[in-house]
Amino acid sequence: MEHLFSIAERDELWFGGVLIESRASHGQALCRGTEIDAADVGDPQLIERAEARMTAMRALAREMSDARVRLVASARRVNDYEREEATMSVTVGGISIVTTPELFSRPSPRAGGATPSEALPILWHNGSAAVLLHEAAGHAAEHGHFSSQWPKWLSITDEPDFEIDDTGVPTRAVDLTTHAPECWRRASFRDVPIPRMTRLIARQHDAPWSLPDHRVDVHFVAGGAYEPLTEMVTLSISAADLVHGEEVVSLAPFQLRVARERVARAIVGASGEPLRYPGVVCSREGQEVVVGSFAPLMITTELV
Amino acid sequence: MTEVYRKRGRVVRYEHGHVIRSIESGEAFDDGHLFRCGPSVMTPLPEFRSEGGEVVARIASMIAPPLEIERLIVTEGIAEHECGDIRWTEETNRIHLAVKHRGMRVIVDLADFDLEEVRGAIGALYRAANERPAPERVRLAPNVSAALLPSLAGTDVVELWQSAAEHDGKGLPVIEQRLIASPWPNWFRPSYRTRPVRMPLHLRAAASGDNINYGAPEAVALLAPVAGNVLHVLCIDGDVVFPTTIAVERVLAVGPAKRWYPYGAGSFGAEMLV
Repeated sequence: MEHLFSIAERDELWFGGVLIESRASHGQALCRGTEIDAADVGDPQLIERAEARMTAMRALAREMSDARVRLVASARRVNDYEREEATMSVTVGGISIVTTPELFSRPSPRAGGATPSEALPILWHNGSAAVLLHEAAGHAAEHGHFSSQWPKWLSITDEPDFEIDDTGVPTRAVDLTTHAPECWRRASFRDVPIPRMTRLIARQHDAPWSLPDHRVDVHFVAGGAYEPLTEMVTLSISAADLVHGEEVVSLAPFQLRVARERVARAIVGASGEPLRYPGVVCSREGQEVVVGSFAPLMITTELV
Repeated sequence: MTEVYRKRGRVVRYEHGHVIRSIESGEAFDDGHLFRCGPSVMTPLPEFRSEGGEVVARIASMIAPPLEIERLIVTEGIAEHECGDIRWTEETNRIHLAVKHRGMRVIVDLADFDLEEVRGAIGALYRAANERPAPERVRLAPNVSAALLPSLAGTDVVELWQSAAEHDGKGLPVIEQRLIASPWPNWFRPSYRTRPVRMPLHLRAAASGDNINYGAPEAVALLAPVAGNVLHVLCIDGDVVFPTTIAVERVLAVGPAKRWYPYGAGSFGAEMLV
């Protein structure tokens, strides 16, 4: 199927409230079947739309004197359908968030903390379970790795928040426990479109809820990976607490490495509506795209 | 003073069953504080005859079930660079191949279209048995040693040299010299969109000995990207092929540099005894 994809993007890096790198990019790709002719042709309308999204983000970046801030705004058109994206990746004291100007709240740096010495149940705050599920369900689904072990009360879906994907095809929600993502996305005009997650939403439906007295509370995740060969999930936890009754001790960053099937079996409880985790920048095949991430407060048994 | 860099290029890339023909030109300005870049209007470079499609077909014909291509990217490009008063041209070919079999993945990165090492890696993967401890001595094939060298810069594992070349990322001559510690003498700029960084270019290893022990097991292919001085490789010992993990702490002998590989800012592969 033939389609014309056009994009304009502005990508800036701010450090300590000062702009240090600014990149403009624009171009179009004429796609016929498996052949793509790409050129850096500028579309004034898309360039203007992308640049307009930068103003509010720059104002926020300028005020953050202790942060590293990356701002990316883009406007794209596939045939006649246009949409925009604007994201801010903010790092303060080792804590990174991906957000938008509308939802921006400043991350709080944390003190060093203790090293976890034992495997404990985990309470996933702040929608952070969505990152675990992004790896264990979403990326696994991209490789046809599905599990029958997910709790019956849990749904994990990819729900695009735009109507037409980057190949001109209407988007639709898919159940990531049984289907691979279906939305084709590309990072730029020079990239091959590939099926990617867009917005992962985990929901609980009458889930059990029993909060362990002795546990780890996870607040922020610095990154994650799924290795399709071994079906192992790796998460780098950047902010967590060790909780023992009333006692709360800040933990040093640590890594979890666990089999995909083990993740599915480990989910034992959840509560409330899906919470928006502040962002996942997902890198696959060298293409970075932002994936929305929502999950309720969730409990897993120890993940080892 | 603001440094101005301009580049125009044409690339043909074969990736995931697609062929992408891309034409771009751009410029970058760096005043030491702020780096700015963006597309610029320049006359496109002329089309070139692409052989990437044939290369993809040749590689695909080498790989049959139960082996499976996980990733195959073949790229050909030409580019013209301008930095201040210096102008230069380069042509590039690249292959990135990942093949999987029985829970293992061999990774091959090449800067030309000679596929002999692809054939060797695939043959070893097909015959691979279970993981074994690292042998006491291992002979690294050139494609494996080349991948290792960039992460050895600044260490005392082996004597490293930067090889001379006409231009670095700022158009300056690449100086032939022994590399001890950063700051490295030359600049690496893989794209006009990337701020140039000091990096060791065109690395090669040297050792007091060149007496390669050909009786030692040979590491012929990478099973994972190099992590520091740690290699996860496929090793051949006689008739047996096995995966193993080697922490390279000392290089005992280095053979002559044979082939340039696209690791880091470039490195020359040579047989190495570790």
